[in-house]
Amino acid sequence: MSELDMSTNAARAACAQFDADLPAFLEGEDRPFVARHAAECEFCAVVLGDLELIRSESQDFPLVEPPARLWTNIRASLEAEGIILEQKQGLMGWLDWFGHAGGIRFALQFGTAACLLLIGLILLLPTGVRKMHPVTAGVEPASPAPLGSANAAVNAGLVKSVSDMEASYREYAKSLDPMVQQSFQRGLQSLDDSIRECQNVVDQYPNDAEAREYLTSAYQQKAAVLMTALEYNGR
Amino acid sequence: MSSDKKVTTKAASDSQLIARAQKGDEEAFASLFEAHKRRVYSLCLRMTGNVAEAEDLTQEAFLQLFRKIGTFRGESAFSTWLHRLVVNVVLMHLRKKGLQQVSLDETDPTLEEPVKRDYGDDDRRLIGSIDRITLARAIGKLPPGYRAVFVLHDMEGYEHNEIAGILNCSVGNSKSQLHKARMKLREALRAGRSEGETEENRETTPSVG
Repeated sequence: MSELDMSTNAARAACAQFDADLPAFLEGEDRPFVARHAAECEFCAVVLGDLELIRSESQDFPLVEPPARLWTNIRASLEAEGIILEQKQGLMGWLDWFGHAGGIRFALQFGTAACLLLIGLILLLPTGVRKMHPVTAGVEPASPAPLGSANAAVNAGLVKSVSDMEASYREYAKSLDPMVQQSFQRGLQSLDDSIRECQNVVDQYPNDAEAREYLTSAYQQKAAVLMTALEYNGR
Repeated sequence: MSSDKKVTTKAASDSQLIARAQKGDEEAFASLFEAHKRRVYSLCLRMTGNVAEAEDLTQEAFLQLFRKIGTFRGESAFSTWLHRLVVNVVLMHLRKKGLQQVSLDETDPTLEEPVKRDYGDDDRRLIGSIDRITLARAIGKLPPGYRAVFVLHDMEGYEHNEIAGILNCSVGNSKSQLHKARMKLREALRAGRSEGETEENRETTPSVG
C-alpha cells in the first residue's frame, strides 16, 4: 500500500469517527474529537457548519395564518353538536360571523353595518314618509331575492355568480346536517331580506348611488356566505 | 410590558376564556380560537407538510379541544395541553394514513446503518444559500417520521424523552432519527442549491448553433 493510500485511509477513519460522534456532539455531549477534527478537515467542518445552520434556522420559524374559513366551519360544527350554548345575538353576532368569512372581511363588516344603518335610518323616518317608502312597506318571507331586477344596479356578473352559487347551495344543502343547514339558512334569509330592501330603494330612486353600493355590498355578502357554505365540509 | 407580565396576563385571560367556554359561550370559543389558531395551524402544517391536511387537522384539533374543554382542570398550562392534543391529532392522522413511519417503529439505534455521506464531495457551506422558505419546503418533503421528530425537537423545543413518550419509541431512537432528519435536510438543501445553479448556468450560457 502506498503512503498516499495509507494517509487517505487514515483521514477517512478520522472522518468516520467524526460522523459517529457528531450526533452526540450536537446534543451537547462532550465529544472533543468533533471540534478538533473539524478544525483540521474542511469537508467535515462544512458538515458541522451546515447542521448547525439548519438547527439555528429552524428555531423561531414565523407562525402561519390559517385560512379565515376555518372558524366558520368550526363554529358551524360546534353549533350543530350543541356545544355552543350562549350565542352572540343580533348585529354583533353577525358582524363577528362575517368577520371570519374570508379575505373581504373588512368590506363585509362595513357593508353589513352600512346596510343595517340604512335600514335603521329608513325605519326612523316619520310614518307618513315610511308609508310611501318601499323599504318599510313590509318584507315578503323567505324567498330568494328577485335577481332579475338587480341587473341594472349591480354588476351582472356578480348577480349571475350569486344565482349560480345559490343553485349549487340548494343542492348541497340537502347533504348538510339540519342544524348547520338552519344556521346557513338564517344568514341567507337575512341577506335576502337586505337585498330585497336595498333593491326596493334602488327601484324607487334609480339615481341613488349609495343605495346601489349597499345593494352590491349585500350581494357580495351573500356570495361570501354561499362560498363558505359550499366549502363547509361538515366536520 | 415585560415578558413575565405578558405571560401572566395571557394565562389569566386564557383561564377566564376557558371558564366561559366551559359554559358554552360562543364568544369565548371564538377568542380561544383567535388566540391559538396560528400556533396550532403552523404546527399542523410543519408536521404534515401539506396545506389541506394542516387545515383539516387544525379544525379537528380545535373541535376536539372544545369538546373536551369541560375536562380541563388547569393542572397544566392550557397552551401545553392544547399543544399535546394537536400533536396527538396529527400523529393519529399520520398513522391512519399509513405513510412511511420511519421513527415510530422501535428499533435499536446501535444496529442501524450510520448516516452515509461522501467524503470530499463539496466543500461549500450552505450558509447564504438557504432561506426560511427553502428550508420549510425541504422540511415538508422529509418522510413523516423524520419530519415529526425534527419538528418536535428542533422547531417546537421538545426534549428527546418527551418525544419518546409522544412517539412511543426510545430516547436513543428519537436522537438517531433526529440526526438522520438533519442529514436528509442537508442533502435536500444541497441538491436544491445544485439544481438552482444548473438552472442559472443554463440561462446565462449562450446557446451554440
